Amino acid sequence: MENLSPFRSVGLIGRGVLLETLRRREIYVLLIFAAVFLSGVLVVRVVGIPNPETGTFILNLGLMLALTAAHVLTILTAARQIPFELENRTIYPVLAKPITRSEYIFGKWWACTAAGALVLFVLGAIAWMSVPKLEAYSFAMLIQTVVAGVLSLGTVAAVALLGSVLIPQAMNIVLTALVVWFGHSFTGFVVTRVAGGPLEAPTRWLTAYLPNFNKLNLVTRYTDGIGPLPPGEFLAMIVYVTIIFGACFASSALVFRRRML
Amino acid sequence: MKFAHWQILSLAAFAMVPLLAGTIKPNDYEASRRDNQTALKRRNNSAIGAILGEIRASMADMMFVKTEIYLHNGVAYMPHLDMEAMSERGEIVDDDHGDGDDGEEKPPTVIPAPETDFRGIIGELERRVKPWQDPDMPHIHTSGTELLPWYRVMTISDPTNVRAYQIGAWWLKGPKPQEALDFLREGMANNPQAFQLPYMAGQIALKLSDRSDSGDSGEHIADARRFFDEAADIVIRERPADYDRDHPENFPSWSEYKEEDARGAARFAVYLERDHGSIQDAIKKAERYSQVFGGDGVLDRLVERLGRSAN
Repeated sequence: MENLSPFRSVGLIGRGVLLETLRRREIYVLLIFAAVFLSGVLVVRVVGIPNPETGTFILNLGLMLALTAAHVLTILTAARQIPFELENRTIYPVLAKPITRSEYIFGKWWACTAAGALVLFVLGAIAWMSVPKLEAYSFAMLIQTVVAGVLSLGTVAAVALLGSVLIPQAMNIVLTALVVWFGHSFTGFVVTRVAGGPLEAPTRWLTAYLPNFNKLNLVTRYTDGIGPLPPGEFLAMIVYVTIIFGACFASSALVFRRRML
Repeated sequence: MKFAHWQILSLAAFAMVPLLAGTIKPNDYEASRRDNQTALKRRNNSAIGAILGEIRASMADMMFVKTEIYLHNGVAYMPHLDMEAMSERGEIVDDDHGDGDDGEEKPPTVIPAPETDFRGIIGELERRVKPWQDPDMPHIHTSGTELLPWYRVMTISDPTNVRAYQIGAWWLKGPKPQEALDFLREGMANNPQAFQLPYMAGQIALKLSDRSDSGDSGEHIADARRFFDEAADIVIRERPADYDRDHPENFPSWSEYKEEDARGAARFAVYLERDHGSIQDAIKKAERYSQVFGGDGVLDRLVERLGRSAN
């Protein structure tokens, strides 16, 4: 049997995920979103944008929708991968090849992230190009917004993949979505309950283990016309995401290696 | 269980992640465009803002209808709303038909009763599988606290829905009056022109002062005075100067309900000034408010009586 290099095997597994995503209905969901965006653009063109504030509002709405759609697609794709392969028994011939389980998970991860990033780029570009820029926005901030968006998608894919080896698929989708959209509200709520008391510091520390996706959403900062993050803070953000990804990846590889298939 | 080196390193780094998380605050900045009130007004005045605002308002209206169904144990009655008044004034107005209690007029159900249903067995099937009760029977009302989440969602969907804030606070004031006040404060921040919200907040604060046995009654009284004064100030600003009580139909933006509430707010402001402030200030307030309303029997009598007692 031919020995594949780790890069090649990871690439092949990811390619399979991307091909399957294209074959399945996700691509139609993307097309529907694009159509909704385009019809929105048409309405905006017909109705007109009377003032710069409205332009900013529409830009924020469009970019926010693009980011949300990308996250939804990533969660659905990542949460489905391992349960789907187990159910269809397609995982056995793959793992019979000289591929480690870590490579298998890594291949799934990068492809789910790439699928989400593709949606973000396409929908984000439609939203960004269609709205006239009537107020000042920082281009460097736009780049940081896109990079942070992709980092967020990578993190969400890692969290969903970890969930998929631990809990049933439906529960995984719901829990991951809750963490992405309501995680920061939940931690804020818990911390305010104990604020000012002796439990505040330990509660802050413990709740910080829940990935905070709000920190990775820079769309409103961009449309508010604020400048880019200082390099140190942006670097800290990248390190933060890398650590969370590393922990999720290490845990899922560990659980998956021990799991009876 | 065997750990690879990279796995140990990853998990060890994760243990320290709270240290890093505290340093990343990308959304902590001041002077944002989204909070600028002028920009907000201009955004909301645009056609796109109006279209999106309408979508939110429609969602809130649908939820309002849903709360009625919840209130009647799932049985859908024809809306208790005066559609004509709503289309003219743009506000929700009860059409004054009763709940079937005490011999009042009985509103029909959305699923018709057998004697008015032409669908025969299909209608019978619908009555059996969906919540329905004979409209001739008295209505069964559920505990309003079950509706509270709907009012919360309604106000999130449409923060300018003053009525949702009022009714939500009304249900909340029984079990959790402090939360009702917080809910109304949020409504006041979103609707600074709606005097009904401080008026209702004043009534809740007053009730809290009656119940209070922990010595903070004075604090609640002070809150109530502030709320009623605020409500009366808004009334002075917002009430049409030439409002005619005999011809309310000429004033689509100021219904009879509003007029009643406005007078109530002014009277409470005067009563509290009389009981917890100074008589002279109470007289001044009463005269001022009476002038705003073009004469108010209750306030005028109060001025007379207070004048006598001051002398």
